[in-house]
Amino acid sequence: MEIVFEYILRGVMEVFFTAEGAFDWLPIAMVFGGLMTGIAIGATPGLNGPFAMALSLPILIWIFGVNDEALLPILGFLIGIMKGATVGGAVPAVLFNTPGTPDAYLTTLDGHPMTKNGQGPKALKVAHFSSVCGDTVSDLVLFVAAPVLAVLIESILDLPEKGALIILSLSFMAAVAGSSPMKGFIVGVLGMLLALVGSTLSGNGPRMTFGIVELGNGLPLTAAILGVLIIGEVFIGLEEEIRKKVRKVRSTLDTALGDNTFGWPERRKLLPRIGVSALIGTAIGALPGIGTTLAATLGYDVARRFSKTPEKFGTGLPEGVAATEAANSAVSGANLIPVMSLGIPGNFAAVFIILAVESVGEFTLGPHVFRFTEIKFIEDYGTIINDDLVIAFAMFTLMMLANIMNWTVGGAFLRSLGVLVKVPKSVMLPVVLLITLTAVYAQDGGFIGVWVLLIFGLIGYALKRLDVSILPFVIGFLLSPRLEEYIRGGYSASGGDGLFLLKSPLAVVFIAASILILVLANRRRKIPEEA
Amino acid sequence: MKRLTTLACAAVIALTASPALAEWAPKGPINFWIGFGAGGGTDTQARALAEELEALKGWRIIPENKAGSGGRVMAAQLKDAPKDGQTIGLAINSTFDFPAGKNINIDDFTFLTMTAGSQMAILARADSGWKNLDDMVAAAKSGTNIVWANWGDQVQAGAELVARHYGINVNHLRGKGGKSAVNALVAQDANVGWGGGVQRPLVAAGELVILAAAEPSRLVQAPDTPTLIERGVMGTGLGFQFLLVGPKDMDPEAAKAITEAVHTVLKNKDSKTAKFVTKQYPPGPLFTSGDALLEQLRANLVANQEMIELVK
Amino acid sequence: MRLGGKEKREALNPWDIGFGAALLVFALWALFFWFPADIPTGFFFINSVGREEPGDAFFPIILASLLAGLSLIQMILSWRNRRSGDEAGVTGGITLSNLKFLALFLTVVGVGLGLMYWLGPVTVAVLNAAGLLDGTYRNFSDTVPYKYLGYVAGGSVMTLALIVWAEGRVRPVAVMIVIAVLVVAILLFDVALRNVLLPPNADF
Repeated sequence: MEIVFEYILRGVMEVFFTAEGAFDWLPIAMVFGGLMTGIAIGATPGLNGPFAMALSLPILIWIFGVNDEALLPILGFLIGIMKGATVGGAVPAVLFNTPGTPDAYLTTLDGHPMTKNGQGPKALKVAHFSSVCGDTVSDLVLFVAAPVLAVLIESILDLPEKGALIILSLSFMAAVAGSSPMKGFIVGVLGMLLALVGSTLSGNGPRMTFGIVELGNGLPLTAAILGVLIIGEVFIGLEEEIRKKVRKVRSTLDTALGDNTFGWPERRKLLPRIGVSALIGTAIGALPGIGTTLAATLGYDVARRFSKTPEKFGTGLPEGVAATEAANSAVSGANLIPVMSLGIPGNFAAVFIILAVESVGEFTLGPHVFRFTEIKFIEDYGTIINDDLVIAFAMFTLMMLANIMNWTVGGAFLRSLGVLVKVPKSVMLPVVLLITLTAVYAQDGGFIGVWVLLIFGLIGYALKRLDVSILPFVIGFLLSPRLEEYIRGGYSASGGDGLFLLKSPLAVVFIAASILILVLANRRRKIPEEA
Repeated sequence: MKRLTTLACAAVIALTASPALAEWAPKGPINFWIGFGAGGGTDTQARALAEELEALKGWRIIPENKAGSGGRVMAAQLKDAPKDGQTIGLAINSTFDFPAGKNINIDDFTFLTMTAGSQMAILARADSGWKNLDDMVAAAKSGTNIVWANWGDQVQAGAELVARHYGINVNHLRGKGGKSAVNALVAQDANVGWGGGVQRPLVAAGELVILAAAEPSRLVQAPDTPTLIERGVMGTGLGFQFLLVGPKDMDPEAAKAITEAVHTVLKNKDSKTAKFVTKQYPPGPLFTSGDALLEQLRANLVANQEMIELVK
Repeated sequence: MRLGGKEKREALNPWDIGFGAALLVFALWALFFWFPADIPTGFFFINSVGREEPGDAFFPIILASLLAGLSLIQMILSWRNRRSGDEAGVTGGITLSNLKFLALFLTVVGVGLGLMYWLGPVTVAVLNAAGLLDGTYRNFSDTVPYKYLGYVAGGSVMTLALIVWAEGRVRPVAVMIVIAVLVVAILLFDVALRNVLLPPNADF
């Protein structure tokens, strides 16, 4: 037990102090900056957290480099965005009845009527309070669940099982995200296939590169993922802007303000409602592929169903706002459970956390992170320690830090956003294109990154237009090299047994489950779409 | 401040070394390609070197990672780069002298200098109870399934050579990058693994044990453990050295100037590069360069070909 | 708002079955043309130590076969759903006007990127011919103003063209924003960060 505290302490110290022992303000400032960016971006209709994370990641990498020391400031900023965006999403929903994300739609149901009743600021206070509560609960669950799960997994799973688990999570993701599970799984496999371009484990020269030497190490990861997520979105957004040209939408708030106090007795009264929603959100967040939309829907639904006055929902009831916001905010922390314990991302925000970790420093995510190696100091060599575990606890510390800032300054910042002038999409999207292009060029050192960005942008555009979920594609692309390693390794380690995957009962269960999920999901489609 | 004075000293030495000659200087920025990914040993070394060369010479040097296939992705691009000395790369000897890289030919490059070398070892977890190679062989003979982690054809061939020599059977597990084998060991995906230097802290902590050395001489960390050559398993070492390389027929003036500048940095014991290299790749910097280096690589190529024939 | 159009499906949805067909063709092409030509070792190969192990084509072939199979199932499913008509699902599609937009859009981006790549080298070549400069663009890829020429020209043309297209008019504020963004990008990627290059300077 002592060693656990030692690691936690070192993780916390890692955030607040430099290697030389001086107080380090940088990670704290980064979390703060990220949080403010996140709240502002979340409050801008049409933008969301993953978008901001995608855009800032390359910029952060050039500012801080890719050394080990760069990891915490970069992660701090990304975590800040992730948390800020979930909170900020309430602003346009409550004040202007224009939800920025699908899940914020449910916030409009009671949030906007509150605004009309002159209780806009109060609605934002309720949203902020419940959002931060939900987030905190979710984080606490993450801190406990991830290490426990990881230790279990590390002791049970061998190469074939790890491989089968990736297949299972991919099929699960395909089943729950998007309109068609079959198409989702198909693009997941397509993403996996495209990720195999480039270098090979056998060392026999590059494969599938069409003779382009620059692709020898594979399609540039950041360019591909930014392409499919950001550039595809820019294509779609610009097309829509061009169609409608500028049509000014102005919502003004001329309602007289009523009673906007939100005191402790009232907060305490809301707590059970928030608690239930937070648990719903956490449970849903921990499952890969299920988005915040379902969490918000369920949270709202449950609250209404168990309310004594269900008919009042939709007329401006603080409970309604609280139930949705607590549920959708609780998703973000729990999302990192599969990331930290398995290295498998479950949603877009997690994709960017993984991307940051893969690009910066030597830290890698996965069950090995939570090995409590005995800490020893060796003369001349320094301390022997599982650095990954220290970083993991440092990451938890960053999340708590973001939480605390959210509790204290986040609310005030949130309420000040209603007066922000919004940059029109028609200007923002081309600028985003230019920045992404520059960033990718600098990162990949040449036009090859730009081409990949544009081609994957077209893939993203096509998938969007065809109404196919992009998430399985991205996750497939991200996990494929690992899966190949597991499958080839499993095959070789079994001494060349072609059916090695079926020799492990657990792997068989995982594979069977993934087939079953796909078949069942195809029978009954139409599960709410991922945000 | 201390660094500034040492740099100033180095600059003075560099200036006084060739006072009369008009020294070669690049006409534009120097592209410094790194054959491995960001954050690893090669990357850290290359970036420190670039920074210190820039400070020493006033050249603009832009380091860039071009990872993949053990440096061969970078080498494939370097081969066709302009020969003006403004594009150079850092990789390891097996990028060039191991015959598996069919698209890489030793004659397509100008080899400038070595910078450092590995501490290649056969490793096992301490909890295996094995103290040396004989313990592992005994375990294999009594039925333990040996899964041996490697990262490339060369070391895998080495593992097979060991297995043949002692008449045991091993299963090979291939990972990416020098660190993958140690990771596989620690994660218990393998019970034997190669390590080129990254094992240092884990061995020091008693997590891993060195079963045998695969360098021409014994390892700094295990002076009592015999090498594979001493054991009669193979005639050459399996270790690797870092190489600074340019395209074939590179401007000889440029090659000379860059090599000298790199040596100046490496010889300065207070330089970041020399410190890193001494810590990570003991005993310290290596200076084999020019024709001597090319000769050594050619000899390695022959030895590696022989080894491959042997294990086929 | 969906411009691709979500239509109620009454009969066979061409996008539903077309999705399967397109990917089936892709998978078959990969299996029979792409992989054989572009993967050095086969499904299995004899490695350098004489042992048979999964080759570089091992996983690609498994995935491409899986893709082919799934696409086929997708086609069959969309055919069956048409006949049974048990669920009137909605699927997106790509219309002709979508394609027109894409073509125009990519032209604008293409022109911008072309300017970005060529303007600097061409300027240097012209100045060389005029005897005002000595050396290729490679030697000036870190010299003001040549290193900014392509980026500024290409970047501003591309961005401004898209903004004007989207807004249907030229607003001075848009021009100012684009200039500001370019200045910030130069300050960030060129001045502040010494180890990265702006386009197109890493290609020379």
